[in-house]
Amino acid sequence: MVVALLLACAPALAAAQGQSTTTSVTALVPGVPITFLNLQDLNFAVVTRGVAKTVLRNTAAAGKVRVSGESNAFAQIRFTLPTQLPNIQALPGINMPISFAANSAGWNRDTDDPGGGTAFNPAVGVNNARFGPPPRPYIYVYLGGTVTPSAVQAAGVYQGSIILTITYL
Amino acid sequence: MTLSGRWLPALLVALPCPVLAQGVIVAPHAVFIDHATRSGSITLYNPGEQPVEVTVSFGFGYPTTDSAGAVSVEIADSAPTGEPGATAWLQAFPRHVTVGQQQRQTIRLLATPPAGLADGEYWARVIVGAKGGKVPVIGVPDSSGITVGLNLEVRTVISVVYRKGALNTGVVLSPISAVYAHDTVGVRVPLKRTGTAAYLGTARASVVSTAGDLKGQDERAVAVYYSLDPRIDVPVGALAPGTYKVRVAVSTDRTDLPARTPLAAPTVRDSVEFVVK
Repeated sequence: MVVALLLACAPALAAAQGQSTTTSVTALVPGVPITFLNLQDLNFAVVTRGVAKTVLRNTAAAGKVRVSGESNAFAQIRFTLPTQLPNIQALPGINMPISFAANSAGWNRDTDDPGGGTAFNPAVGVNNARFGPPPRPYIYVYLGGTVTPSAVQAAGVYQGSIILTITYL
Repeated sequence: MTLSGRWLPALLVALPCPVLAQGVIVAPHAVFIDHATRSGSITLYNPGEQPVEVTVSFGFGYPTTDSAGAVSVEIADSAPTGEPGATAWLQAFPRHVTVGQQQRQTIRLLATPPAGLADGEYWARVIVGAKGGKVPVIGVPDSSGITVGLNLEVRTVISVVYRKGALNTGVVLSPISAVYAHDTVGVRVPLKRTGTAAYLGTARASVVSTAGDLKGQDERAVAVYYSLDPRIDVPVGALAPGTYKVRVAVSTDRTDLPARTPLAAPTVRDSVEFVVK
């Protein structure tokens, strides 16, 4: 099973280093731990006062995480999402609303294909997501969203956290 | 050698993994603690290039199925009354830690069960949350000077099973059912646990023609704490008109768990026919 982990890591490692790699295993233990690879932050780019900005889950600006695990195993995906982004450069209480539509999230098995993935409501999550078969035991998770700055939104950095929870089923 | 101990050489050889890695790797993905030792451990590894803040907490939950056969685990902060929860008397050391880049950290799990704890199995979930020590701020400020940043925390949930005394398990398989649609045979596998411990096993389903030709098969791990009625979708492609048989076998072999941790039980089987017109 660790071999699966190695295989899961190898492409990214190779990509990161621009070369192929070989590995060996000195111990085999059961079970493959879950590994996260943050491929793309949810990026709202330019945000203008009074203009809501939406990032769709199947666009390049969407958040994208590759989750590696046990081949063909089923998993549960849950998000914990903010509703307000506080201005971390201002006194408490200065916020910007952020929202997530019922189709703001998606997942795809095996390959990175945000356009072909299965949409789901990030507020609800998804059951029965499934890791891909060997040699790509992956679940790709995508997330879009909408920020709604007011016409008098104060300048500054608005920041929040998204929690992604994966559980083997 | 403990499971964590067995993991370490593999982790050291396997990693570092990608520089973009987020969070920590948590191993193993199920912890079994017996009443004699009252302790266990998990190993964290940060394969990334940034320190990761890790928080370890406990919750309670086990797999259940909805009316469509989808399995889920809803995690509560504590065990509801009447449930054999271990959440209240498990502790993790440390609970908060920063794991440096390409560093590992052992988390000890210690149990302090109440005196007079009855023989049986007690359950909990370990929730390992990890977030990068550096919060990325993304987005481009316009002339108004507004920037939006979101950081990602990832959480891995693993099961903890605390066992005291001699335990046994098994399942009763009620009649299975099968529905063919969209090149897939949806098989429902109604399971009810017997004995004194959760049933950990694998359900396998296969579809064969009357001539015995295999049309498709699939399997999934099952953890039956009380009852479970999962749906296994067997891809079969376009079936010609005729009669087909679905066979299901549920056994306690689990390749993803350490040997002997799933308690042994007899394999149960059932089959059902369906007709494609």
